[in-house]
Amino acid sequence: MQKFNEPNIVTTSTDKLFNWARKNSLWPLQFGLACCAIEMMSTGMAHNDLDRFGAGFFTASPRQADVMIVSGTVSTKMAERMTRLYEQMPEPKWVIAMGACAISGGPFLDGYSVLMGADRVIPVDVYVPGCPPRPEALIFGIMTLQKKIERDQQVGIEKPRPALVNEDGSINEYLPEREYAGISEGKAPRLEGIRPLKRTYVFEREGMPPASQTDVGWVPPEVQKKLKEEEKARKAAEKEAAARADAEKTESANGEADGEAKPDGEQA
Amino acid sequence: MAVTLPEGNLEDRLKRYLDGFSGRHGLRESEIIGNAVRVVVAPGDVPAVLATAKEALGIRHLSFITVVDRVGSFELTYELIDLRGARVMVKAVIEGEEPVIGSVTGIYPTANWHEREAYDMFGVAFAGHPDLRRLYMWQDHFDHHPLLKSFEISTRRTFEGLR
Amino acid sequence: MLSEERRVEQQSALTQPAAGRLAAPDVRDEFGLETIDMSMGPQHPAMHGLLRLILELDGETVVRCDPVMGYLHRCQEKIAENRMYPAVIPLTDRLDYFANMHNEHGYVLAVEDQLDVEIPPRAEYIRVLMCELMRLASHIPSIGFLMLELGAFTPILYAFRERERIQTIFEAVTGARMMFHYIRIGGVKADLPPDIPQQIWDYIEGLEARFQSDFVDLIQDNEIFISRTRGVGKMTGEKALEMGLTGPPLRCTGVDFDIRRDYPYSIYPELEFDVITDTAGDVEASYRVRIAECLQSIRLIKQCLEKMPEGAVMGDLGRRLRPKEGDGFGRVESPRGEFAVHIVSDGSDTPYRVHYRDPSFCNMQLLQEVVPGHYLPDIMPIMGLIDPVSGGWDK
Repeated sequence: MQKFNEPNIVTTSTDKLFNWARKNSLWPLQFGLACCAIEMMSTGMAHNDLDRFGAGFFTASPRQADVMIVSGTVSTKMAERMTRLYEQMPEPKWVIAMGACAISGGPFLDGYSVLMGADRVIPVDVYVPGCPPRPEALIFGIMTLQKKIERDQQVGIEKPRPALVNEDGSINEYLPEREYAGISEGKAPRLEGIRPLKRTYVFEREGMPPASQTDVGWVPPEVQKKLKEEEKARKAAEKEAAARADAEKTESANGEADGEAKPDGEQA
Repeated sequence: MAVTLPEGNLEDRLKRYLDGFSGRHGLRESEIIGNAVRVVVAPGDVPAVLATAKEALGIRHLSFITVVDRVGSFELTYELIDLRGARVMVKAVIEGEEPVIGSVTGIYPTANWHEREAYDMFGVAFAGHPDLRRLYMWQDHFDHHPLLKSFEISTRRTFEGLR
Repeated sequence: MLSEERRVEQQSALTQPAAGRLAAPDVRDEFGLETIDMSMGPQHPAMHGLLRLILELDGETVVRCDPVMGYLHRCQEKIAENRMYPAVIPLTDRLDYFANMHNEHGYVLAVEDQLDVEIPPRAEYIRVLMCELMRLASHIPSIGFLMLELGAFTPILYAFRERERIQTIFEAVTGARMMFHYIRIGGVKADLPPDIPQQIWDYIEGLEARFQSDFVDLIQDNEIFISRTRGVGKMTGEKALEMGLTGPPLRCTGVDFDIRRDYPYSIYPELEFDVITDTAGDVEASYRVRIAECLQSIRLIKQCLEKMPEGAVMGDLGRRLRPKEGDGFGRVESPRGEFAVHIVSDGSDTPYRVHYRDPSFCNMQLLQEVVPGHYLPDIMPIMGLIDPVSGGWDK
């Protein structure tokens, strides 16, 4: 049997087949924690049907699950159980963080028993914001995950998925998946030099808001024409005022030349 | 097996409850506000007062037990409902940093979990409680009582309990 | 076709109360039987949320049941002490997330207890209308969940169809499908859009027409439903009152206590409705109570729509709310029972202490008392009787 170390025609074809199969039959783990679980259930029900994406079979056992939809606030008491369930899921597995609480702690960010985001302890692939996100948003998240699975390669990229709880009970803090996105060739060193996360909160930023918030955006055409005319009128008025100021200055300069002694004359 | 609930005019019943309390126990304050009888007692008298309420006055439902942390003392409020429009608020103030009070689980069995929650959140010890352990927080290695005013919340404290 | 005797035999077997049988002590000693300790862990497909039950089992019979909670503790009371009064309302939304309007209403009543504000009557009618719609949106899925845990999939599809339509109405009125932040201190956030009352009326008439066939005829005479819920979780009224139950678990034992009638708030004194009780205190009785309460909610919604006056929807309040010092109490009848809020204010614009008395928290004590003696699969219908919501019991 030949072992391929680089992508070639054989591996890309099997990649396409495996990825197509995996993305169209994502079995979620029933992991409804809080309010987002209700919207997840709504997504699985008849009106917004998740079964048409192949993802309608919510399995209770982690051994049969492909994707873990963390829907709801992760409390620290539950985080241990969540990592245990994550480790019990067989590869390939993905995680969708649904809702503000699973992404970053949400409205309960300063709680003493709330984990500030599920990505503190497990690697998250897709973040679906909202509180709670609409069923359409969750379906968009699952479709994004499907697009992500399409890009998967069996050779060439090493995805670090280590155990997160060591034997002595300490926890490895995990960077979100986006931090690993730039690693494309060769082996990625696992857990080498994990940098502390820099999160800036909105209330900590100083200075002007970003340009997109001060930008006016699209303006309707008739208003644009009006603004252009006003601009022209303003420029004309300015030119006039400048011309008048010049004329006054030359007059006053002539008047001064008669009355006062020139500075050149004084210096000399 | 039908359960009999109190009947009669609301004002008469409120006055009857107030007289029942003041006749049997020494009260620090007592008044009728709206549809509630408000009674302030010493912490040691609380189980006796609640026993009167249940047996002599027929008030059968304990709605909640609130603990308020006035820094330096704890104020407990027991709210009793007689299911037909009247309320009784029993307040007690416990001085000091280590509050201990008698448990009322023998009188109102529903107080079991309310007292466990009060212990978990504030550290109020209920003497005579059959099963006083923590309810919300980790039961073995969390030494703080979160709702005390001295426990400040911030994003730094979250990893204390995560093993 | 079964013979007559077999059919009668089967019929009587179905209506026998379901009771576990513990092995007698001498049998246990002789055979060396021991009890099994099992943890029905926080992640479980049938739990209404994250609840861990530590069970001691003798075969299939539960000997001891100890609930362990706290897997969703979200520090709501502590966070509320750092927010201003109107900013606590979104937090209360997330307490009992199946009945958001009732949580908001309870909190707002507690704050208005300490303020001196007159709430316009139109706002009161809108509040009651929203609360009764929420009651429908809560009772119907709880029946669906009860049936889902017994193994039936159709009722929950019908239930969520109704809930989707009610959520569409809520979205048109409040702007959100689930976390409304609509009932504000002093009134409601905004008036109903002009075509909404007609939409609600059409929807309610349609619901009334299909309620009997979709939720009653489909479930009530089903053999499996009867054999799994009749006699399961049987309680007497005395025991229920002792355990501190409120809401449908109490009313299904025969005690008629409803906060809308006995501690009236808002404009319930002007509306007509019946308080539904049932005498058999088991899971089937709680199902019947919930069905009948849905019909009463429909009746209340129709009355609200007919009687709604015109006017403003928000009282006259300043921008900074500073309730006077002291205790404020608010109490509402949420679909799960009595939801009470106790606010201690110190005159500033953040509360000093907010305490929520959640019905799911208090009704869960039922599990410690009633489950021992039943079989392990009977725990699911008993959870359907209590119908707790984990945001409620864990705050």
